Amino acid sequence: MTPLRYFLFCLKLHFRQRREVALPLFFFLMVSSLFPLTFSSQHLPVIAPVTLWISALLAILLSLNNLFREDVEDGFLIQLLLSPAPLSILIAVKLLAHGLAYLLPLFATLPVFALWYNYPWDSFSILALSLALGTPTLLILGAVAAALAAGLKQSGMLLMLITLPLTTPILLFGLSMAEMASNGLPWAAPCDFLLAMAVVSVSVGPWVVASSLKLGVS
Amino acid sequence: MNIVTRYASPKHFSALAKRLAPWMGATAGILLTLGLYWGLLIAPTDYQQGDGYRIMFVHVPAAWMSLIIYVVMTGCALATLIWRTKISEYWLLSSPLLGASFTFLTLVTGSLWGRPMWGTWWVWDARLTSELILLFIYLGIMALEGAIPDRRKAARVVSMLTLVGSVNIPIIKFSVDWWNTLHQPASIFRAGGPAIHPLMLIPLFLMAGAFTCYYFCLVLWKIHKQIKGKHV
Repeated sequence: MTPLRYFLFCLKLHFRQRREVALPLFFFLMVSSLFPLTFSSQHLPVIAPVTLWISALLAILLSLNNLFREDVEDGFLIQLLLSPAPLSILIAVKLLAHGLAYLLPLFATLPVFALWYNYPWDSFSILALSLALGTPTLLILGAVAAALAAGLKQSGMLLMLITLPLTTPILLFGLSMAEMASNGLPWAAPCDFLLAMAVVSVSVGPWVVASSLKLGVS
Repeated sequence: MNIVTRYASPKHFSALAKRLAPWMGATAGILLTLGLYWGLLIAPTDYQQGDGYRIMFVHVPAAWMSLIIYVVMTGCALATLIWRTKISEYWLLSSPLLGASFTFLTLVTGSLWGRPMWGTWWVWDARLTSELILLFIYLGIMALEGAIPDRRKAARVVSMLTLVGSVNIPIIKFSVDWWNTLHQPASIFRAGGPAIHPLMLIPLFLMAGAFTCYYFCLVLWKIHKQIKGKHV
């Protein structure tokens, strides 16, 4: 299977399973609407970056729960291993399709939060930018854990336990970027860090995920 | 026969571990007694912190161990993935519990120390937070290891996670230099030599030696037991 065909295949699969794709999105919307319900309205702009980042992180980890389960169970992973294209390229393509299917709808809902949280528009764009730079790294870190836990019992809980400590630097830098921007400070430094992490994880991540999968199935 | 290839074989290593472990344990006991005696009775009282600083003789070596064990595990992980050596697999799987214990000890003693000196049990300062995350990483590794019944597969999967998590180690080591927060910066291993009195430095190193020997004693004993259990 060529990478391009696999990419279209993954996209088609996500489109057919759009009910499943919608679940993490609903989770994201519900969790981040619980905070405005429970906090008094003057705190809302302050807690907006934290709640959006944490609910996005949890939604992404939930979406990764079944990333490799079916492929391992029905033997499709063996097919991928046997195909002439290297596994890391196929994994990169699969993750790209996953990102498009799950992250794009998530970003489409973001403007709603600027209204819900009464967040100023100009610093909201920076918050959205911090999420856009950070979420690919979160996705790839989660994918590594999903590959390691593929085929195990309780893999969903394990995925969370393994990934959450590793994602804290991303979370901290993303939040400091959003907070610096809302206080009118220069936010280039955390932005550069997020960008660097994104570049490293996008270039190395698929290979690490592929090697982890090979360890898991061999 | 080459000494490395000889002791890479579980049979020979097990025999060596069985002989070394009691010696390591005895050395640990002697160093611990000396270090505690020196640290609690001989070392001078601190002019600012009084006698309360003496918890340092447990806290600082435990913190070193929490990092060193992770570095050792990273080395084992590389050896496991590259050479598939069995000893490195045993060593890797025997370490996380000890690493987590030392990390927990660091956090508890640091918290006890922080209460009289800083006036608080806990702050979300860079080093405290990164040490807590190290504890979570150890626990994650243990959870993953426990979920895989096959030992060799567990070792390979844990190796991968250990390598990914090793990014955190330099962050912890340099957190006090990069972020100027409540926890004091490095005062022993720093440019320009140690910044504390030699009479305080000696018990610190005695205690560090005791903890290291204790770690080796337990790891060697666990490896010996596992190999024995497998071949019976």
